[in-house]
Amino acid sequence: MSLLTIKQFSCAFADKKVLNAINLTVESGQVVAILGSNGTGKSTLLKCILGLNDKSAQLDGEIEIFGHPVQNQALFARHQLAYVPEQAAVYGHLSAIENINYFLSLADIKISNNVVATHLSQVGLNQQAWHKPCADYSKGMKQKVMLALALAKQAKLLLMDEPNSGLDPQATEELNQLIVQCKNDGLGVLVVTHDILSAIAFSDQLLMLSNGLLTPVTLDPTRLTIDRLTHLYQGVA
Amino acid sequence: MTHNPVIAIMRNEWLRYWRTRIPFLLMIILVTLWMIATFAAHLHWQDHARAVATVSQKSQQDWQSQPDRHPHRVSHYGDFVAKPIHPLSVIEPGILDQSGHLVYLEAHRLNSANFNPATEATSLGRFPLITPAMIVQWWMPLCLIMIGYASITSEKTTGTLAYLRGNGTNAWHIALGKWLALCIPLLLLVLIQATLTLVWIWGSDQALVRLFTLLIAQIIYIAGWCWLVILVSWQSKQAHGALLTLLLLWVCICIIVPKGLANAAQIAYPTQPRSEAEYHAEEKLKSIGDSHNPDDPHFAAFKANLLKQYGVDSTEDMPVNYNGLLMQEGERLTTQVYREQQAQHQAQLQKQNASIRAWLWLSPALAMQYIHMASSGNDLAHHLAFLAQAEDRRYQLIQYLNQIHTEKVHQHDDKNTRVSADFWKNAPRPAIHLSHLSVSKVAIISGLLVLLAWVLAPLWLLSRVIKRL
Repeated sequence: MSLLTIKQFSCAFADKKVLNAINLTVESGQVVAILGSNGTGKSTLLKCILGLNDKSAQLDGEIEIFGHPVQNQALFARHQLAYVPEQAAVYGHLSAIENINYFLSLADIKISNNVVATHLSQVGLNQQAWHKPCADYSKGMKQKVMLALALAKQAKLLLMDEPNSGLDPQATEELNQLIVQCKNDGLGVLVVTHDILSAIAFSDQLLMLSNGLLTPVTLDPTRLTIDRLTHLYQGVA
Repeated sequence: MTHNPVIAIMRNEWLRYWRTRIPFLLMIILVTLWMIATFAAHLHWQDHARAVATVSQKSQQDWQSQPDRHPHRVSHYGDFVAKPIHPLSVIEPGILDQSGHLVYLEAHRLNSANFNPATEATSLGRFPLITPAMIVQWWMPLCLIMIGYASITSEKTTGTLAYLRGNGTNAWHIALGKWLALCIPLLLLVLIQATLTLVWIWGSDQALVRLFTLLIAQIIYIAGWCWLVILVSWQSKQAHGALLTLLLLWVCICIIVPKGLANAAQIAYPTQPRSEAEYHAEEKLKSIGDSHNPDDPHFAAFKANLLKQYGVDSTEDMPVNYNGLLMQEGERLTTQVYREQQAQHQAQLQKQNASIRAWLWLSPALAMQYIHMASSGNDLAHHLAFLAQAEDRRYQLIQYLNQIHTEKVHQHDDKNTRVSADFWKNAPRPAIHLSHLSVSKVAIISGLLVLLAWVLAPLWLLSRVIKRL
């Protein structure tokens, strides 16, 4: 069974169709990256997968997580996956360990601090920072906490919204490696991003969202030009 | 760590209060303010109670130690009556400072507390001494705003709300956890206050029902404010927007609307100043009759009736003192006129209160004040009930003295006659009691209904915005 299945899914606001008959599947051990310019509906698609779409949205088609339809069982679906938003969502007054423990307690998951420490080590967060308030963390460090949290949640499906946004090249590279590691560990990952080079680096399937349509693209990083990228973002495959 | 998401969210919020210091400091300031208010109000109440006790005792002694004298002199000797004060006045003195707690009862005069201006009678016209009720009514909501305005907006700006929602945390669990974190410390303070108050008022008149009414209203009021803070914080995109919106609401609910309604009510239903009311009463009395004028038609008819009743030709032949009968009739007339004036004045006050009640839904703070004042026995209804009792006592006493004048003083030596002091000692001076809480039932019921709507309205609005990420 696919971790995530999207069949002929459309989403419209008033007369404007944001997503048009989209089809997508994410399997275990697969990373799918969705590219697209601002306002093309990438975040809307993620919200629809999470069942957090605006009430005024007119939806058509199906989204299933582990075979369960999101429209009817949104809360169940959300419990089955780990969602990492664009903004590293950690509480500044809590340390990395406290943040992870808190979020896990809300998901009714109880793990020992040793396991949390293992995941923090796995994502490469400096041990000296583990007990410091996250208010003092850099964005890269916060992203690592979020990823450690996703791993600690032991979800089979990871949804990541612009994970590289605002990260320096070194932090971006570290994060890319972590995503690949997740894939190797058998997780399914859906990444929404602007960062084409990273997407090429870690994804098994690259999709472009443009004019409401989701189309597969094949890119050779050695042949990328500004013109080629501009055409891609304008929906000219 | 607990696995109940609501409790976990509440505990995390408390941890934020503690670690970011400012909410915790605000709570300390609030508790300090509350302690100062309680202490000041307690001293204030003791001053009242001491004055009432001293004056009542002195007045009683002076009354009882009057020598043999003419009854009309006794009727002008006067009688002080103390307004019964409930110990809950420590929480809310209401109109006590404006209406006074002692009245002087004298012949031919309505008691001295009857013609107070309306703004005083509704206790909305001035800023009184800081009291525990004021802490609940004004400062607790302000403190709640300062502590909680960013409770949801900060989660939005840091992305944690999106994360929580995206990872399956129920929106209502988040709202309830935040609400409990805001609510519980203040409810705890209110419950501590109620417990201390219970000890303080134990054994007093209707202690439990009055305190229970007050406590229920305070709990609903605080709960409503907490939901409003959560609602605005959820609705706002930025923390400063939430803060400004909440501060604006606080200013409107706690200051502008109560003050505006009181002033509008007084403009719509104006009351006469005391001196003007007395002038009109005197004018009316003159038009009814003048007992000193032998040609006055009313008193001429009164005299003719008496002569006929006793079957005599002259008042000097009557078996009773005609001057005493004249006094009785004069007292009846003046009382009738003054009571009419009083009724007009009270009708205006009632209209003012009714017009304010009609708009009470605009300000839960005002509804809370109504319940505070009613529960502590210091609202307009209790005051009017006290005035009615005092006036009954005055009229009974003066007519008793006029009766003695009529029966025990010979009219041929009227001015030089002295009557035994035993008559004053046994004069009817019925005790004045604090009225039953039911005199304020309209204010209490309307106040509680407004407060119920106050707690439900933000919940309903929250249910409409809570689905938004």
